[in-house]
Amino acid sequence: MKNQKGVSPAHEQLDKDFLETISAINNGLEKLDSIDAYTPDVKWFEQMVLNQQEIQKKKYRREFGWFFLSALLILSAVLFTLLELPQIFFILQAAAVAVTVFFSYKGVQKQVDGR
Amino acid sequence: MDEKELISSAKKGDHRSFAVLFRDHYPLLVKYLMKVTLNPDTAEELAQATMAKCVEKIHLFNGNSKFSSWLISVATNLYIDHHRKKKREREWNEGEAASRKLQWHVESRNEEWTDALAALSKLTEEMRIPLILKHYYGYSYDEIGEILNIATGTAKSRVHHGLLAVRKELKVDEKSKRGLAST
Repeated sequence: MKNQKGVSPAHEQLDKDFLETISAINNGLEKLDSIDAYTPDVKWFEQMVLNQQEIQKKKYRREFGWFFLSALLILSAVLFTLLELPQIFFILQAAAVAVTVFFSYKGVQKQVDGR
Repeated sequence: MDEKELISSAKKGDHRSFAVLFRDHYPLLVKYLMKVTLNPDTAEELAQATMAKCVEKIHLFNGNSKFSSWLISVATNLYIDHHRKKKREREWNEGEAASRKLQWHVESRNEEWTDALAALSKLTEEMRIPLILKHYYGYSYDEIGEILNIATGTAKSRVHHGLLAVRKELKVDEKSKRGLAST
């Protein structure tokens, strides 16, 4: 049987219980908020940020170094084949075009199948 | 300097602005992580990892949300990654011990470790995080979806199932059934 608001007593009880559960959870969590958490001073944070920025710089330099070396290696190989072994250079170019076309076609096919 | 100015100079690499931002938000961050992890040691460890991540990713913060919300989002994702890396059984054993430690902290302040907290500690992080974000921090389901990278409907469903699981642990349904039967 529903009351004037169109809510059955069982549902009304359920809503009240949900609110009670939420309130019980919040009361418990408030207790955790009352635990003192030590906050270091601003100098500690500054040092932490400086250390992190230093780590990032080192990481960037290392990655850039690897990128530069790889690029140098690839370019040397390409120039060497172009100047010394032109046949292999053109075979490699043709293979690169074929692989690109093949995988582009595969990608389109997957998208169509996906629909 | 207000928060926007601090963020703007932090983006330019000013370590002092970063430090002020972190110092102001550190208590909120640690306490959020304490509620989510129920482990004081993991909470502090993750708070430091979150700050380190923020230094690296500050250029991705677009300012549409509050800085505190962004910190919570980064911290939550770090916690989920951290949790995935650990083996289930080991994590469970550590989780039990850690929540006991937190229980000791609470009880040493002459406060009671409530049944609701015990019930929360038994939930999986999949349910606990959205439940806390929704009902303690007041985030909308859309915002929770963004923080956890899940659909709004999924966030809603996890909150609901989380509440049901807590109620089951608290045996609320049995009590209310008994209450209704007696009336």
